[in-house]
Amino acid sequence: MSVDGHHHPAPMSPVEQRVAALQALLIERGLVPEGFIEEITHRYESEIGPMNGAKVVARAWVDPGYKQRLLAEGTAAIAELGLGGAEGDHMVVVENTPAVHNVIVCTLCSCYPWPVLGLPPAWYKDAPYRARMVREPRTLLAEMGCQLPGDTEIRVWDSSAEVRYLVLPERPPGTEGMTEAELAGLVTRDSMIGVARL
Amino acid sequence: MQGFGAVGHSPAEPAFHDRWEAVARALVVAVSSAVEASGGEFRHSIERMEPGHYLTSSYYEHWLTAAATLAVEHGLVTRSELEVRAGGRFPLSGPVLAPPVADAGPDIDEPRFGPGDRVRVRDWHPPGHTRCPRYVRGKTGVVVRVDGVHSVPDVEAHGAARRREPTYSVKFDAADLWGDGQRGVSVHADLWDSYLERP
Amino acid sequence: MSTPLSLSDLDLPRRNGELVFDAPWQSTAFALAAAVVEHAFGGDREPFRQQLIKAIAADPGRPYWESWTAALEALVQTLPDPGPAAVSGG
Repeated sequence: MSVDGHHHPAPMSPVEQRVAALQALLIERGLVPEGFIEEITHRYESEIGPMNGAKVVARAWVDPGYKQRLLAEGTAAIAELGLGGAEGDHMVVVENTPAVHNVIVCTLCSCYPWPVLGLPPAWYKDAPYRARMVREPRTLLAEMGCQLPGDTEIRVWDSSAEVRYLVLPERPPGTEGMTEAELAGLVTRDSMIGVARL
Repeated sequence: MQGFGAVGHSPAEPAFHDRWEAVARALVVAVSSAVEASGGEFRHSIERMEPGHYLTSSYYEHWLTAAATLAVEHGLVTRSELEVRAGGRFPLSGPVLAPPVADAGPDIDEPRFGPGDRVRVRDWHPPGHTRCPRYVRGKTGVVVRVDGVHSVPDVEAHGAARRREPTYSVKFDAADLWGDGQRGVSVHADLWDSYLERP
Repeated sequence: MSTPLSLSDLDLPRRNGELVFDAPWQSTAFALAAAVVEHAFGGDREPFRQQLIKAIAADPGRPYWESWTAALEALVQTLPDPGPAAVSGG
């Protein structure tokens, strides 16, 4: 608040000004319906996120038939749970085993399976991750806290076309008695990208 | 975030609109017949405007800039002549970057490769848009999955033509990609059919 | 790789344990791109994706959402300008 009692907002940074100019132009062109921005923001901040992918994983852990369908045809199996939409039209689910560890990346931009994981975290979109995960995954995974036995096979999936990937992490031991909902609560976003194990 | 509302577009009076529109139209007609430019070239010239200029200028100024840019590029007038007459800076559009694809070629409906096939990625560096990651160009891998038919981004980027092709997941041994002896690591890239050839 | 916490961060929604957007201009830029894709390209994400790839390649060190904004600007520039009649509503 300034001395004259009026609230002066902080000056906009150059990129904020550019976004404001775009917003004005696009509204003028009739491309932004009333409430659209708020609705999209709310959807991706609250409704679409890794809790969705966690449900897919938990279902695959408790239901072997579902798991089979999920690995054979990811998009349809994910749709069984009512999930799908932008950036999820061509889903492939890759399974971690004691011998194999999967991890996803998009070296060209930031492709990511939105319907099951929401929007990607900043590190996923930044140059070091995008360059290093295809170059030295074992080292990078260890740096990110994912230590793997030396003989674990690592499979890196670069989402360079239309397919979007989801990692199916291994079910942790000692979870036999848990309900599906409890299991879903164990599944982290990072385990479904493949930079962590559970 | 507060909405910023529509741009404060308020023609001072109807005559201003009509005069500007008449000038813009006359310029476009004059330049297009003088240089035999098409509507596509004008539109492309508008696309080449510096974004800050584009976003902060009116429809009329877009067309004025397009007409002036084409006039300069086709040798009708020089930039400095424009600036002398305008009495100051006369921003033009940026240069043409990638040539349009003349012929997209036919769709490829049937995959040329199947799972297990060894394939090599063409070692080719297209000037325009491509979705072939650099690190796999010239490298040999194995098809692990055949995915659906999709529009080739390289073709789509350069105009209205479209070509659809199968896509594949191709597995590369990391040691082959990087020559550093790392073991037990494979990298899969998803690639369009025309990116690949038999080794 | 977390940003330093400031008072304004406390006002931004945190879901999934982490901020989805660091500032409102980012969520606006995201939603505007969604609007253009849906309403000017019939849901085809490919033209925007190409601009994003190009923007990132043009300046790999640039922060992601600034590249996103540059991509959106470039995409908007490919839309046909409305005619004067459209702008004035006549």
